[in-house]
Amino acid sequence: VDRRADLIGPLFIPRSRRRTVIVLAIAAVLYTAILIGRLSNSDEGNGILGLEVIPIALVALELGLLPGLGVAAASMCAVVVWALTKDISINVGEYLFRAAVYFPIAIMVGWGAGRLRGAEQTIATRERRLRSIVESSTDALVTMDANGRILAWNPVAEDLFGWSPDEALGRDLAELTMPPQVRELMREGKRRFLEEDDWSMIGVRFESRGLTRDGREFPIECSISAVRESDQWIFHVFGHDITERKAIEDERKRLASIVESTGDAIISFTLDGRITSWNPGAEQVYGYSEAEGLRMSMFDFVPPDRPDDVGPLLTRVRDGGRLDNVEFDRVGKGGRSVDVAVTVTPITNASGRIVAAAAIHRDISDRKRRERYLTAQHGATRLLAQVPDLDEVGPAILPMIGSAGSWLCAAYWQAVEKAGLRCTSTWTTPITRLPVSPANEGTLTERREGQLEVDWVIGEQANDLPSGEQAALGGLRTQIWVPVVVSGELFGAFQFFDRRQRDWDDELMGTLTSITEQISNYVQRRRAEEEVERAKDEFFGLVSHELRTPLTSIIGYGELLAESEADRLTEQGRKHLSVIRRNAQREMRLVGDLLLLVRIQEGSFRMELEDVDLYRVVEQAVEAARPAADKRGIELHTRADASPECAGDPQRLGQVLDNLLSNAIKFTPNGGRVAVSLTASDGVAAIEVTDSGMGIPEDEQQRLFDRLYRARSATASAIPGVGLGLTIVKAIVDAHRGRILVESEPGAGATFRVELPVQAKPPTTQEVTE
Amino acid sequence: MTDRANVILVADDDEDILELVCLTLEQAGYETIRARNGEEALSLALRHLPDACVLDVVMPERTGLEVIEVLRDTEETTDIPILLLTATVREQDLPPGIEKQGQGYLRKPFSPRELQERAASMLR
Repeated sequence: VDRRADLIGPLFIPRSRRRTVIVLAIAAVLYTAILIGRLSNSDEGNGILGLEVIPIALVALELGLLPGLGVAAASMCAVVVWALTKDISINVGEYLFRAAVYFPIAIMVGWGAGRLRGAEQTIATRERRLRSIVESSTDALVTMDANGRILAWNPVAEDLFGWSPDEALGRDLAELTMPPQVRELMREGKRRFLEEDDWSMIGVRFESRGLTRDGREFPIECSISAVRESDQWIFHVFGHDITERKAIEDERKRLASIVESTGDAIISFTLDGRITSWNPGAEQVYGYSEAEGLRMSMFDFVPPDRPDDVGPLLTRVRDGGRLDNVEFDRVGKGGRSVDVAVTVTPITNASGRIVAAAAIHRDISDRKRRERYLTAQHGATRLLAQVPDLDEVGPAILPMIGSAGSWLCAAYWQAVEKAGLRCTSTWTTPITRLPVSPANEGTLTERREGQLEVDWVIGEQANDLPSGEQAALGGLRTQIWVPVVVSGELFGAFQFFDRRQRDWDDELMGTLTSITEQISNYVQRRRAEEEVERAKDEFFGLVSHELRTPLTSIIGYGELLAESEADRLTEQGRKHLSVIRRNAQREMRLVGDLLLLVRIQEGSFRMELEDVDLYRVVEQAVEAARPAADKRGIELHTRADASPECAGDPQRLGQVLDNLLSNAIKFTPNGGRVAVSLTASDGVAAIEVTDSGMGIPEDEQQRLFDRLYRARSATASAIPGVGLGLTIVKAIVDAHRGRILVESEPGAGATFRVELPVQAKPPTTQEVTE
Repeated sequence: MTDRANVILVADDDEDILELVCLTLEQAGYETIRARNGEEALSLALRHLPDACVLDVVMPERTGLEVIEVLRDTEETTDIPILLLTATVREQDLPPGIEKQGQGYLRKPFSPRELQERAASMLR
């Protein structure tokens, strides 16, 4: 390549034209010299004729045949004209004859030489051009002969395959650059071309595999051209690495296959909700084919009884918002409800404006259904704990399991003695009108011709249920009966309907069975409890009657004796009588306490609330306790800083003070001190009973209120009692919404403090000391 | 009050309590008629038309309440004051409507003085 010409070309005449000019100039000079020679040697005109041949040949060489001929003709004419006019000794006839012989030869020689050079030049140019193409090509370009030997190897081929031209030239192309399986294909293709004239591989692009020097295979795109060169076919092979393109293509294919094969619905839609793409997953989730889906809008999937949630979503997307796994309930083909977790991403156009959105809807119906079943099961447990009447159990639970099972409508039938079943309750989805009603006659109100496609009875006792024909209503295709069997007898039955044919759902059936079992167990338990209740009532009757009737006699006769016959008794007799009466009273109180305690426990403890003057209550209790205190030399001190009133039962509050005082006196040594104080502040009245007894260890303080708990000191000192007093005190105080506290230091006495809510009254200070 | 002492019919199947009630009422100056079951109480009441009745609730033959029902349906005894004796402890176990005009109840055990007071107020 003449790079110099390229660089400084504009300053010089281009090479070929320059040579033409030079050659023509030489021709002109020669011709001029010939003319001058002729002029000076006029006699020797013919002698120079031979010289004229040279410029003519040069012109023919540079300018071609016709200019050569022209120059030759002009030269002949000039000589002839000159010879005739100047009268020189020239034989015109001979000159013309010689010119006719020499000039054409000169022209032919010059022209031929010119053609030859031109052809050479063309070849060189073409080769240069070709080489520059080959060398600057971004494709690997390899030339091979019919035997597969490499004839040319460009730099790209070197880069691509790793072989330098020195190493590659002369080697077998297939061996060098192709993995084994491709080699055979290539050889076979070449054989078919050479032997069968099969051009199918020539001039087309195809993908193949290449092999590098270090043994790595890579995808390559090739094309082959065949050229006939001196009885030999040679082949130019172009190729380039398409690893990247393949990777991108593969990735695109992979993504496409994900979109095609995923079970998730992948839907794209415009900002007005119109659907623009719909993958097979969307068909799976919603039941609509791609053709159907593409005609729909995102608004079509909102359940009819639900407020629109797509509009706000679209607004959000328009503002660039996303949605990540948000749960929606949708409605699919045939009104089937579908729970989905939705992820939405805005789609922007080239200028970054949001023009659409892509959404992934994952079907989470199974999980949601399972959740609903669990909720129903727990709900049933909760409801059972709240339902007071056994007949209300079914109706209370019906809506919950109806909606949990996504039924269209449901009914509960109660077993009625001798009358079979009666429909006592129905349930239906908010958007459905129920074809069943809690009929007076207890039958389905509307009967149409039809056949149920699914008609199951879960569990036993199927014979007692109304037949499936009764449920063959218009449009309803599935009916399920779930009987509730208690102790082998039909208690009631749930009936569920659906418009579509339902497949057997183990989990649903498991849930229903478990709920009916729960109901059954509950009913059984309730019946057992009622039995216990009856037994308890009987026990109460016994205690009341059989225990209290003899006591009535003992107390009554004792009183009669003490009042009317006392003077006839001896001193000893009166003493004995008083022991009998005192103990009868004690037993009476004990029976009273026991009965009260049972009432508290069963929750039937009721008080008659009225305004109670707490000061009076305290005063009365102290007066009642005084004889017992006096007898043991115990000082009984009362201090009242207020006279609060509280809403309470005066007798019960009296009982509280009686018990606390009797305990205080019991646990105080002879000659000790018991103090009662009444104070009121901040809406709380506090009554404190303090003794100077042995005190209560801290670990015992809270257990004091347990039923039948007796302080260790009490047991140790043989202080009488059964351990009911404080339990009753606490129950009464609790019922008054008050509280009881105990403070004690062992050896330093104890203080029981009862706090009751009050309406505050102006304080009046009264002090009584005995 | 007239010179004639008020007559009270007492019915209880427990002999001791029947005796106790009668003694207590007699001490207070009433005359008593004794019945040992509901049937006897009813026939004695209809025969003697007492000024008041003290009836045990739980009695053989007829309960105190059944006796009351007949007495109230009978013209001569329809207004007769009646005191029922009951050993029932729980309010909810009391027969409904036990307390009304001309009719009350007294829980066992009772003190004789309390019975005398109730009898007096009944016949006032």
